[in-house]
Amino acid sequence: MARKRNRMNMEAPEEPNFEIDLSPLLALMVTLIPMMLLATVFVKVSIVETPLPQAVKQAIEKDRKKKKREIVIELKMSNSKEFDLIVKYGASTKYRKQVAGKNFKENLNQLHKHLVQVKKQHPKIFQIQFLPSEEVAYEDIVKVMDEARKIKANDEPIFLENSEQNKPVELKVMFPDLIFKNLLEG
Amino acid sequence: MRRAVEKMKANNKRSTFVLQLTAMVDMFTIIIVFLLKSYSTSAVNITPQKGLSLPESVSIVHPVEGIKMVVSLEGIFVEDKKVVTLIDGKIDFTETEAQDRDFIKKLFKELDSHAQKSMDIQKENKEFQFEGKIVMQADKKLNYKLLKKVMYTSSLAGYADLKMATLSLE
Repeated sequence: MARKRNRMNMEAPEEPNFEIDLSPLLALMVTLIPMMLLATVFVKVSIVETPLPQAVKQAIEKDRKKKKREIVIELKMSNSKEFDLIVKYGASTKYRKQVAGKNFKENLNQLHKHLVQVKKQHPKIFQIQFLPSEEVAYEDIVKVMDEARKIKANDEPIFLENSEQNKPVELKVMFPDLIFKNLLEG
Repeated sequence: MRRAVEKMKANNKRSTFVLQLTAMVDMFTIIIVFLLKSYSTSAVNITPQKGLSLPESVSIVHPVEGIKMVVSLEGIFVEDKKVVTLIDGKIDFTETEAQDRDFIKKLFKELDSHAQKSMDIQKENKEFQFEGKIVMQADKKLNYKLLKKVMYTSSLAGYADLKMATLSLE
């Protein structure tokens, strides 16, 4: 008899008497989801600004405020996506490198290497005068700006002397200020 | 077999209809987490116009408050108002000044009116300062020839601080 009762107990398990009421949670989600769908930006046009060390920030500001420049870095870009990098001391050209390959990606890599070399020699200069030809696509201009702006992880480190702390600061940016020199030339 | 059917009938009689919400709650939780991740907290949001393909960049700063200008293959828009019509990214020469081919007349007029409005506000409200900032969304296929004209005209209208909007790759 006892065995029979045990069997019956096993066959008909006790019904759970505890149940979470999910309806308020559902109501909240039904409200939240349309609101967030409306406000969410799926194409991100902005990202967090890269924080710069104080010494580098000061050096950039100092370079921006310069009225007369003794050393001018010029970058010309032709319609065939070739580059001409010139460093001028006053009127005379002191450094010149031409990048003229068939592959644009390779040309960009070569240009970046030359820019790193120039930056090594002139760590206090943050401005480049950019002269693209008229048929150059906007997309390619942005790519050149990207190459000139930052030092990549596999590049040799470049240091900026910090007179306040007597300790050199490693640079993460190269030429953040790209000026379209031929804008007002007509 | 008969006994089993009877037992099932008995069980059915006992239970009422209960909707299983667990799966739905799970799905909603995933959607909420995804939306929270893509939710932008920036004060200024730029939504690219339909049909406009922005260039991609690895380095972008926060978008700033400024006049919104869109240069697509179809036209130049200032604050969503079409100012100049372009045909496949090319401007008609009649839209430019005869003596200065880089000067786009209608664009200058529109930007100048915006600059004037800002100057008027500045006169009344000392806290407001006209900075001449312009956020340009330009199609990646456009060439520098057209962009040069746009930038040149903007700078003449008092908008010398031009910010290029690009798609974030990071």
